[in-house]
Amino acid sequence: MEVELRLENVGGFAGTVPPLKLKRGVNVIKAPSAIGKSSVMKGIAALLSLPYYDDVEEEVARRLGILGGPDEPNPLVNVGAEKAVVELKSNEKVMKVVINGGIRVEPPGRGSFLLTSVLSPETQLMRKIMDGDDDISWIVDRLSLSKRYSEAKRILEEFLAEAQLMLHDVEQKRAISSKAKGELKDLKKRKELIEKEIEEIERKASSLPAVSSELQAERDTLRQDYDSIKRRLVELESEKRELEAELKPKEREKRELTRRLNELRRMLKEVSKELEELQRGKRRDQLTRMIKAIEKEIENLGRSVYEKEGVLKLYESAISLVKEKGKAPCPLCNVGTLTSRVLEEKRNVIESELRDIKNSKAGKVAEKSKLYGELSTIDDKFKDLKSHESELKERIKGPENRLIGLSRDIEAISNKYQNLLQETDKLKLAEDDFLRKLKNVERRISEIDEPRRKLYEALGRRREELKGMDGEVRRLSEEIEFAAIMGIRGIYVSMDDAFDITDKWLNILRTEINHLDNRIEEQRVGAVRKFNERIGVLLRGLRLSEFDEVWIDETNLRLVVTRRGGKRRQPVRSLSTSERYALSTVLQLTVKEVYAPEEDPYLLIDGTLPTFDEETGRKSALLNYIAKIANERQWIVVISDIGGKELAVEHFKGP
Amino acid sequence: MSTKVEESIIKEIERIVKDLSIKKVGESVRESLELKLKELLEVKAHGS
Repeated sequence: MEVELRLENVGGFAGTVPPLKLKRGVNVIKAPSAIGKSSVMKGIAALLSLPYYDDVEEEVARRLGILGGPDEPNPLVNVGAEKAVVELKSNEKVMKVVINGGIRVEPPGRGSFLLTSVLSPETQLMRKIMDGDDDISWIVDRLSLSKRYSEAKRILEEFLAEAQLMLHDVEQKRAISSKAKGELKDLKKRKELIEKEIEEIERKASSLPAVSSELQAERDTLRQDYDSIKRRLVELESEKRELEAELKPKEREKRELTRRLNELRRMLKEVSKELEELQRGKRRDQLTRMIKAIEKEIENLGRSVYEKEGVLKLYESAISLVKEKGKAPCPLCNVGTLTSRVLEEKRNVIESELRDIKNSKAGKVAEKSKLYGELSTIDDKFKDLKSHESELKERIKGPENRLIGLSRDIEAISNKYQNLLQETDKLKLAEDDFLRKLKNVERRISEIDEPRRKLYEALGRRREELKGMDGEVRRLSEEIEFAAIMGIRGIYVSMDDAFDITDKWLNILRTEINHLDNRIEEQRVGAVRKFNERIGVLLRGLRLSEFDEVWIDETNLRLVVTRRGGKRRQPVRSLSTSERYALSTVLQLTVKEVYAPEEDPYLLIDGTLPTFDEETGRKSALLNYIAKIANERQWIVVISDIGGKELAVEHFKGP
Repeated sequence: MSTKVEESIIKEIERIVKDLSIKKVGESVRESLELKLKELLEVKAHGS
């Protein structure tokens, strides 16, 4: 079979690479360094492994350069291009991967291809061996069916845990239901007993004598009368309160009016007294009399002034005469001869007297004027008091009239209040009387009715008890009903069926988990045995004489290596680098032989061939062995190797 | 005592678990088991 490999914009190749022909057997991609051998290998690996990877496969894909990191462009696409295409075309089928923004593979590849069918320093197995790790369990579990069975077991265990919870739930509900059923049975028995008791009480009550209708009528009448009195007393109390409410402001007003009236009366009394005192007082008469006397005196003094002025004129004339004639008789009696000096002396005396009289008269006039002033003040005051008295009398009239009206109203209300009090007293006496009579009749009725009443009380209690029981019966019935069915996955089944199904389901799951445990162990052991059988053949085929034995320990899935001639196990970490290369190559080829599906014919070997020594013949041995097994198994092995002048495929036919 | 329908369902479950070598494990097993559990419940709820 021949396969044509077509690459477009893959890795270092810009544009389309001339198709490479791959054949069954060993195909060595030869080219000088940095021409793109690895890009060819990556392209084939991508085509056969994309698009789905688990965590380990994804890690390997990144290391190989098939996938980029998060938010990085795919490293497989040439830096100058938008998309990369890898195509493997045979007569039978076409396989193609297109990588641009996304990845489209037809048909989809197998992620584990990177673990089983690629031999490179970047693959997981080679890295672990180079790191000295001898734990092989991860690849045994991944590449045998044990991983699938473990995964299935985990799912079954989830179902088992859920089923155990379901069973617990079912058992709990069954216990609740069973308890509720027991309680309901007891309750129904108790209920029957109480119903019988009720019948018995009713029978007894109907056989007792009843109270006469006359007595009941008497009690009813008394009660009505008594109630009517009580009602009237309540009404009276209300009316009394209303009257009190009406009376209070009037009394308050009356008190205020009386106070004001007393005040006005006191003021009037004071004014009247003052007036009376003024009227009764002698001062006015005294003043009048004094004024009259003074007026008389003034009149007399005036007359004296006239007389003295006449005399004075006489003396003045006499003095003038003396001056003319040298002598003059007495001017008063016209006798004798008086000298000028005597006359002048006399005239001076008269003038002095006249001045005194005039002064006296002026004093009297002033005194009279003062008395008139006093008299006028008294008259003014009298007038004022009179006016004030009249005003007060007017002011008193209004309150006096209002007081009379108020007193009349208060008296009327007080009379009504007194009537109410009298009626209240009478009714209270009647109330006591009716109450006494009523109690008497009720006592008589009670004496007759007591046994029946006691029976009815007992009946009431029993009926209440029965009502409570009905509620409890309903609650228990609902509880039983609720616990009678169960919803599982939205399907409702009876509790017994739920128990049956859960029990069966648990048994099925346990059986299948047990089966899976056996299968897991079988797979592991089977895979290890197949591996161990094959690795011996490989060691001999590859002439790796430094190893006596290489095998996997079934108990712990660790690699056991014994050097030729060595008596002890050799830890992988203690091997030399070249030994680890050789060992990892052997292991990877064994993995391919043992674990790769038969329908997968491809094996990629990139970057490991130069580690094998040409001179010792180890490289030839490796190529020969691979060619042999490729022929046997119809594999298409692609190996990258340095050499030649340009990219070309050499088909190695083997020995 | 299991009914014939139940026995047949149980056999199918056994087959699901045993068929892992050719069946994709994971959600499909979960779905298959869910389906079978529901079938068992339906048999009880509505009879075979």
